[in-house]
Amino acid sequence: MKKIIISSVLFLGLVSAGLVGCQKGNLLSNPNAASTSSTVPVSLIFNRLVNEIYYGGGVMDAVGINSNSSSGPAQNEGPWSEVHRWNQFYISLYSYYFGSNTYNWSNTATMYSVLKYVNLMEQQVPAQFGTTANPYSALAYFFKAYQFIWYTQRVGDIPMAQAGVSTITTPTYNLQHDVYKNCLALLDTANTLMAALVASPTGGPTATVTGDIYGLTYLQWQKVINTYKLRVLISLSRRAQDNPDLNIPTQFANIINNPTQYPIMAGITDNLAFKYNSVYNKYPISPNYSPYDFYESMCDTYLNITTANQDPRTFIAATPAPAQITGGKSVSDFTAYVGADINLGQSALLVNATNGMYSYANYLRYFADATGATEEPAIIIGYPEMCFNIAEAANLGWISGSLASTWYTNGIMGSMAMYGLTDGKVIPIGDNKGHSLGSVTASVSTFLANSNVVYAGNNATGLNQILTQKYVAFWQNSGWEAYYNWRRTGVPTMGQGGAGIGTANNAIPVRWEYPEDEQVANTTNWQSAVSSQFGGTDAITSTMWLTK
Amino acid sequence: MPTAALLLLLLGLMFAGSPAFAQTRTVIGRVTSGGVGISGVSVQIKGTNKAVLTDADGNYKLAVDADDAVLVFSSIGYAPQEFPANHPNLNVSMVESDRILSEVVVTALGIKREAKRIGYSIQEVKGAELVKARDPNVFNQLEGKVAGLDIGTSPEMYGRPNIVLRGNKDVLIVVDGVPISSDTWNVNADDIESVNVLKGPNAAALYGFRGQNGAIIVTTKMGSRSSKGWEVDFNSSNMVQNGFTVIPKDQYQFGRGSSYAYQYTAGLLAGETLYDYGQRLAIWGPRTDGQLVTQYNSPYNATTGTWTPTPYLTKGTNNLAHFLQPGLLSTDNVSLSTSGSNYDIRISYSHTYQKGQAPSTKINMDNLNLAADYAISPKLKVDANLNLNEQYTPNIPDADYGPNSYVYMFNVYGPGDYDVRDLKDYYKGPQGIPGLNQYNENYGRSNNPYFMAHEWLRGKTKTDIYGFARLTYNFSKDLSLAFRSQITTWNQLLTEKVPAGTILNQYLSWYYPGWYGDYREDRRTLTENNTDLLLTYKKTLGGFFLNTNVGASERSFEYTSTYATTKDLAIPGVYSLTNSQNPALVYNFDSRMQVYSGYYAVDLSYKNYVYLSTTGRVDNLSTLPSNSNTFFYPSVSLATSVGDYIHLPASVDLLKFRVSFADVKGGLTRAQQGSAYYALTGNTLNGGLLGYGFEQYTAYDGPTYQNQSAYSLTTYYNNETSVSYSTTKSDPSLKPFDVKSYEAGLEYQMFKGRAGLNLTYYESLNGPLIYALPVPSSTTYSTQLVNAVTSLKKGWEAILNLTPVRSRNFAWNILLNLSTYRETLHKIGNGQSSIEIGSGSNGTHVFKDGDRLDAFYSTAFVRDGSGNIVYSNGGPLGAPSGISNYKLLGYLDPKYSFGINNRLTYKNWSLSFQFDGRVGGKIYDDVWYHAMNGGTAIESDQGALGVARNTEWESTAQGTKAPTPAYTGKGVVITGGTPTYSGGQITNLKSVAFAANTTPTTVQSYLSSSLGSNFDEYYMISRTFAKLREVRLTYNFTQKMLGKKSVFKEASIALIGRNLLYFAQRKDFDIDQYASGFDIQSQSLYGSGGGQTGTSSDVTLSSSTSRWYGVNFNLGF
Repeated sequence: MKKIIISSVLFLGLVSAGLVGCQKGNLLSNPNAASTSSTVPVSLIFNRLVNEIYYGGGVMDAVGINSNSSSGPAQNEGPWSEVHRWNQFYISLYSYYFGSNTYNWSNTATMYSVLKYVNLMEQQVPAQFGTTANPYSALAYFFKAYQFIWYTQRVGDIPMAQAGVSTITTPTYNLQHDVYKNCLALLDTANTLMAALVASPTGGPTATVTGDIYGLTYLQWQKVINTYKLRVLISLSRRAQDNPDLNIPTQFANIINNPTQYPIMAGITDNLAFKYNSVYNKYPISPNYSPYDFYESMCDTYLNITTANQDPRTFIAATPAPAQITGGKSVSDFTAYVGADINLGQSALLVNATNGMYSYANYLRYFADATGATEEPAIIIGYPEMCFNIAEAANLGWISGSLASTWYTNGIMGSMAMYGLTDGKVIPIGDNKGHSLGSVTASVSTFLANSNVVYAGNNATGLNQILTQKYVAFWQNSGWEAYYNWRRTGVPTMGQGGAGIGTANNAIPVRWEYPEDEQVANTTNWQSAVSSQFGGTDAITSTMWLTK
Repeated sequence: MPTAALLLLLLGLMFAGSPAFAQTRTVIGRVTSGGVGISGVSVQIKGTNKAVLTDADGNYKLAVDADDAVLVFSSIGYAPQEFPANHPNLNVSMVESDRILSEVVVTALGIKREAKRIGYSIQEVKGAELVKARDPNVFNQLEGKVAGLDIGTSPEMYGRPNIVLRGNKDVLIVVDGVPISSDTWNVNADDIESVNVLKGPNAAALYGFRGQNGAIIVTTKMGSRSSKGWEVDFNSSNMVQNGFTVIPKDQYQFGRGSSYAYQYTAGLLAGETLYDYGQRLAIWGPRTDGQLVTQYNSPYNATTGTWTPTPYLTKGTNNLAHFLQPGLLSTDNVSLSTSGSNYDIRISYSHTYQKGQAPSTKINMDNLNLAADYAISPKLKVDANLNLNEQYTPNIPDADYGPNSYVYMFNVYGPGDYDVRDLKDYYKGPQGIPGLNQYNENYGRSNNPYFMAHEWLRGKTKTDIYGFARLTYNFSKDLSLAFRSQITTWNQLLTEKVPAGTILNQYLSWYYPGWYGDYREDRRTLTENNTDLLLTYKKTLGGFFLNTNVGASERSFEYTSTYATTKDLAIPGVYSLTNSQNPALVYNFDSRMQVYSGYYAVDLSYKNYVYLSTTGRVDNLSTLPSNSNTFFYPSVSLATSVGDYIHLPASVDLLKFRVSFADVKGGLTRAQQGSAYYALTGNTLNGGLLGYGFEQYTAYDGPTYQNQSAYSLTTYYNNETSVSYSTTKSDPSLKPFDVKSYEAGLEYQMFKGRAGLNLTYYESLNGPLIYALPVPSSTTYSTQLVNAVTSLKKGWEAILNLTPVRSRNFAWNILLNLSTYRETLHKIGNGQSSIEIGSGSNGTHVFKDGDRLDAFYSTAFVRDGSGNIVYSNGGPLGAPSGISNYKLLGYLDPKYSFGINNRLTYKNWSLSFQFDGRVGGKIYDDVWYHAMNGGTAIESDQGALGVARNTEWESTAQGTKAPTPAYTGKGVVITGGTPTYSGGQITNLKSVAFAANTTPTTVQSYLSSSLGSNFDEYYMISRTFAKLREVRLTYNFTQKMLGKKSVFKEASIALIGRNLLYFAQRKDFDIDQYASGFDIQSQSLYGSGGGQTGTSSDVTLSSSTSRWYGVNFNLGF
């Protein structure tokens, strides 16, 4: 009996001891992740940051999950994204696969995630560097400015001073004017700090920033900062005269006139551009997207410009419209390239496309390869745009007017260089499944000699030419810039007024509504921002300070 | 049987010392139920204390002295009956009284208590109810049997049913007092003595925060006394699965294509002559008029690479039926049991085999249960139970949206322009290359179903063990101490072999046509140990009775998981993680947790007047911050049975009132966990990593680490290491969540158990929860974890039992279960007056205090003042997007659920059938949406759409040019004025001019682009459904028929059926699976619906439940 008792007790004791038993150590923290107090190499945080600006606000954190829908707040800004439909480069024929073409916008996403990673990076820097003399500290200023401007140009006033302050859960709003003013100062600081690093580069002049995916040297980053500043300054053109405190033309001229203090991009190799590769970061459309190539067409806003100017970039972007080829036109005939009118409804667009009326995207360039071998990298901030920004400033008289024509041509040639376009370059032409239709020989000089293209001087026509060529150079790159430039200048004439636009008045919206989370969780501050700017209506048709 | 043993003990105590009577005559007989002898039935002479119990075979023998003596037959679970003892042989057939009359129920901690002493809601289902009309998963069988318990039946093999108790999805399962971490498949119906459902925290406070939503308490069988030493039971169910309960109706006039055009060769990419990779086509192709079309099986000249067109005809109106084969479910159990004066032993082994309806799918399950108790001495007892469950399958089908699903392939994107039987040889030439590429009718959308069935294999192996060992020492009659150690552990391996040449379309970023396939493994192991000590003290003093339990326990939890996938196999057909062209992706997630608890349960009663129970529990939980990780929560309940002290009319058997309150606290654990990838990133495999397939969730009950702002490692560019930081801001001062429940009930029984009503009303205040409350994005976070958001749930449950007929040979029993609840937002707190709840950009809404939380707001048609749909460009006009323009499309929760059980017994025959369902509420019909979008749904070729579709086809010159649009939507267009909107509707109707819509559109553009997924209103259907869930016709062989000398003690045969009839507004998908609409506490459980289920972002293409027919044999030796 005793034996049994003892063995039973022993058995139970063993059972409980032999199992998991009492757990030791820290059970509160997540063993699968690093905590805030851990040492996290700054380069890893920087890596996240540089990716953020390629994808666009809210995309990496999946704000508004349904990115395939025009109503989702977060939009990928890469090539062939919905953004480039709103830029009127191409259109969707079929909602199920490519979404609708409508500008049915509502709440915006934000890019405050970038501010979060900047703050985290700045927390880690002292422990790992002990000094701010490192590219991470310098570039932190650039990323801060980039994300505030990304957001303010979409809505108006935004929280800046109190944004991302850990103790503040309802940040107050700053005037859009002040946001720009402060961001321009941030960019100046970024330039100054980078200049010090460029002057005595620890790893030599070709050293890159660890964690950077763009592969830029310190000097190239400094150029990105100043080139970006030119974009910001020109984007304020409507406010240049009535806000003397911002010194917009002066600041612009300072950069152009002091190239040593403010180095800017010298060519497309200085582009801040996302490069695709064969395994990890494939080009967004690839052979496995080929089944969808039936359901998108070129938009006429883009193709009407390039075909009228005999622009060889026509052959880069598009395939000839099938009906034009079966109707007997040659593949080198610009009139064989026809875009679709975004004002039409998708039913009509699909019928027309089925009848072969529209050009498709260039399959051989964009669909047939996934590796980035045939496609151009995706520019985020690029040299061609910078040239047109300078040309525009010259046209407006901010800087010496004689520079306009030079920079206009530089911009065009920079864009041509992106596609390797030179006189005599043979471009294969295929249909939308890649079957060869022949080839064309590009003539850049014919294009440059076209009367539409020859710079008309520092007048309204010249300005229109600059802006038109800037738009063409934005083909599938630089995110929302094509739209923002149109919003600011009205160039080019974008399609609107038809039911395909899908807004209440079928006009293209001029802003976004504030994010839902600001409305719900920062109600008082949001309300006062909306009432002071828009008389209380947070609408996509309201005009903000920037675009007044 | 433990209940019988207990009763025996009670009766023994009651009648000890009764004086002996003079014996004049003897009455003998057998007490049966449905022909089977029942042991332990009390046979009492009315008005005396004289009684006997029936033996194991139901026989009794009783000496009766008075001539007019009346015998009262009573037993737990049966209606008591009275018969005059006017015959020396009195056989009685007992009628089950159903749950309401059960006198003893199993409560928390496995303590058996008299039903009338219990102050909260509890309902029992007998194990015998569950062993005949089998479902592979026993929990599916509970649907309709318990008021307030809704089972979202999972039709998928090894699919976890959605167990919803009072709207809560996170329900604890306890077996023999042991909380188990179970996917519900490791409980074998043959081992179940009874299932008791404790419906709220009132009942389950003693299990701690795991029991916050109630518990399902399973009590297993124990050894039984038999004159033959060992009692052997054999139970065998064999069922045939034939056809789905619901099948969408398709059109077969039009085939694959777009804009009425189709040529297999149109999708050949440059340099390709064989595979139509360049077209992803729905069913918008030409009409099958016999015209010449190049098809996948048209003659192909390999030398010239040319195809010869063949007549285009409808060949596959029965593709699904031809592909499926009858399924089979076979469950066999053999159990051996014995008992002696100081021991009980039961050994039970079951094998379950299910052959799926899709070829090459099957599941196997072995279950071994060992239970023993042994009284070492009169004071010391040891008992133990061990359950070993092994699940294994080489292949189970996947059912979701995507090219991996048969529903997708046949029901919503399947044309009738091919005959599936032609695809049987799935490596047939010219396209097929064994091991490398499949022979299929398309190469842009879906796979050859036979190729999928035989080559794309999803295996599962799971070993699931739970058990305990316990030592009990009785110091005295009143005082005992029990020490128990319990373990629940499982390990699971899921594998997936994706063969070379699988068509995935764009779903996988590294996929390309003609790729080599993939291999993946998902391993998960959970080990949990509970060790507890329980001191029990009972005392009767005067009229007072006191029962005190004081306990302490330690719960130790450990979980490890790994998910790994290759990234394009290097050598096709070799399914190994190292065989990867690109570095394999590997994720691992581990967690540990410790809970120390102390608790008490005190039952106090005064005479028969009132029964008071109170419990209290202190937990120390390792998942919470150290300043708030120790917390206390109490419960109290009060019951009184009026008839015990007030004289009630003779017709009233019982009138009982009860009230109770319970409080539960806990935090930062979750009931279920997905793959390691999901656990690490919060993204599902289908949503984040693979783009198809479904995330498998397993029982977890471990830490979420949600309050740990942390960096997780990831990669964004070129495989460079990068980090991702929480979007949720943590709160170091977080306190446990708090759930309070109030309940009141009434139990009323009359006419000797022939009529009874059990009513319960409850309110629960769920919160303040630990809630990820949105913060403005300008804080740089999306949410902050805070103690906020309280919902108020109010509900009713009613159980009605009736016995309209009861005679010696015939009886009819009815049990009706009804339940309903509403959940509203009680208080958000944290200074906020509104919160956004919903999922993504469709179907989300800003809720305010007092709002019903199951309200579903989403995209709706814009209408003019007369209710006409407003059109634009030929399609319905979309209101401006954004949350403020979503319209209330209905409420997702059913209004009420019901279950009606009928049992008719005639002599040896018994017929049972159950009819159950849910009434009210709305649900999104995703199958319909996809079938309309795909041009497959029969409605896309009927009525005005059908006329237009045929007219359009005629206009295309046999598909050679674009159709002339012919469908003009009935409605209006805006001809003047600029509309302004609110809630998705025009607010300035007076300043907007309308005229009839005259713009035609093509049927394809109308359904796919215009209507598309832009108007959830169109696809919202009534959630009401009802099912004839199960039918059992049983014949019990009597001992006489078996013969006195037969080795069989009992035998029965039953004809059984499940899911025989389905009633709903639309019969194209099975609403049954979506058991509830919204539950605030389920928000973090799983899925993307933000707690809402049945919305356009939640409902997907699952399989339907199947009809089952079969036969059951039961033999007792």
